[in-house]
Amino acid sequence: MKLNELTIDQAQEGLFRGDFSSVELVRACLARIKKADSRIKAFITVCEKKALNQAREADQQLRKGIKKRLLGIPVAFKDLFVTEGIKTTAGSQVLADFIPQYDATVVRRFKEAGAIVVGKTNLDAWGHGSSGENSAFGATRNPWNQEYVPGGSSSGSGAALAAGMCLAATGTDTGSSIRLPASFCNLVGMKNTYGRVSRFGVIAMASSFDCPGCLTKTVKDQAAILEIISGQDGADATMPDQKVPDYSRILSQETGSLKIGLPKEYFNRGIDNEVGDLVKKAIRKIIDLSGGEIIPVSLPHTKYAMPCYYILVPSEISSNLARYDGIRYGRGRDKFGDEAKRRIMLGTYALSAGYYDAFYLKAQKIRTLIKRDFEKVFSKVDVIMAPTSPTLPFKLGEKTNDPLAMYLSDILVCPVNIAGIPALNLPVGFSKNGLPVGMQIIGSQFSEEKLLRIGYTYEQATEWYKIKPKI
Amino acid sequence: MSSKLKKLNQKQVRRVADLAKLTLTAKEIAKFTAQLSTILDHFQSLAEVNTAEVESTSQVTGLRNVTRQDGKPGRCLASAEALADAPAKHQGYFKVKGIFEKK
Repeated sequence: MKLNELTIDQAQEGLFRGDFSSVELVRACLARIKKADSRIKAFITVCEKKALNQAREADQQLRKGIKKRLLGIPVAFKDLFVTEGIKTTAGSQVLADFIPQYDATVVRRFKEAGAIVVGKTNLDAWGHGSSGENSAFGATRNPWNQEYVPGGSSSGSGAALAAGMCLAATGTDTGSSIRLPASFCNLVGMKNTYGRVSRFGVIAMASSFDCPGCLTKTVKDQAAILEIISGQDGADATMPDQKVPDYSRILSQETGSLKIGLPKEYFNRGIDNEVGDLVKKAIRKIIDLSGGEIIPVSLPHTKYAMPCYYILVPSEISSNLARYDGIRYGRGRDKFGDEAKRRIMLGTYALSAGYYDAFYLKAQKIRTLIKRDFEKVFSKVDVIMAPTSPTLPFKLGEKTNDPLAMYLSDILVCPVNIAGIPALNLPVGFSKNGLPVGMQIIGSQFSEEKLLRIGYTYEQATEWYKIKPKI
Repeated sequence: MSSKLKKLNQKQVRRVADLAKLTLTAKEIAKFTAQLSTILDHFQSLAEVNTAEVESTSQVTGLRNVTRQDGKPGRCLASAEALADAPAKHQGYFKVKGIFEKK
């Protein structure tokens, strides 16, 4: 097997045993980038020199027997995470030449664990999008079939990881942006509980929704990284004082018999047949493995989730993007792309005098109702399972002229963000034409360990991650 | 939500763009008016929900009044660092356009 196709877990074993060096591992990723990224467009910035220097240092530490949890492992950061001395664009022309003075907490924790930064990945500008096509630096293509989108907004992170250009890549999930690319690219991705992972240094989209996290090849890698990046940092005031469990150690503990809720509203909504069949097959498999039963449940306010989301999120966006004045850093407001302009105007409108009560306050109250729907269901079941996307990955250009159709791609994922709860995307197989399908396991706030355990049990029995795209 | 919100007109879009400090071309105004109207139409369904007795949620894990503990402040940017990305500066300050100057 090629080095760049290893999981973090496998690569670490090889590095600690001395089977290969970090320089060789990083070179394998850089070689893949050189070979394929002119077509895939997963990266905005590649840090070849810096990465090789860091890898040499990692090799020295490895030779001394120093053990850090990600020592010598090449990773990529979505270009919303600020990185000291490395250009950070947010996928927008506004920040096309912005070089931050500090690292985001997530970046700092990756570096402290010994990870190597191979580069910054492409995205829908500011995180606004579900396909990657809103990037000012070109649309990313899905490594499984380059006519299709990789899912957004963490489009470059999904594509880079699926194509073997790094061993893990960060993402942010405000409404779908980790789970959708994970689903479209045969990867594991978790939208963590709001406040599990620090937002410090992550360019803000909608501050009461934004959840930084990571895309990984396996659940095992996901658990290892969550352990590293979770927990208070003193810089994000919205993080509860919640202990960080030893996610990787408890991974192999038995899940016990499961009560699995299937919301009727999620399965009624024009789910593509192939997607529905693969998800149901995966749920049956999980019940075979862990024992348990399916319990039909209802989340009655589901149909209001999209309008609620698209009032609250653009409102917060209009406020967060107001800081871009082209005076302290970045270029002028004329450099915003269409989608950012649309969302700034929607939000400004919803917050403007006379409309605040009808739109913003109303949506905040509906947010309470949606959150309560989930709380009620979780008093009866352990987890909820549902498709991540109602459809297979779509083609580039298919939805670009219809913003509303694009927004509706997130219909099964955004209620989770409204309620602040965690959801794990797992690969569950492929369509007849070879496109990946994902399922999400949704839990109550701070139930990440439960989701990871279920995911790990399923992953060991199915090993979808072993199938790689041909590029 | 009253029916007057149903259709956005170009005048409203121009006003919103002005509030948000966005300069739009006539073509953009026309395009965004149509697109934003469609999206706002989609929001009308929220009016069906009775929220008379419902409190609003702005912090989803229920935190309130979080303040930093007294003690050492964190790292601050030095002046040169803070100015490093500024497109225009003057003697250690950000340079801005005159506020009282006539356009």
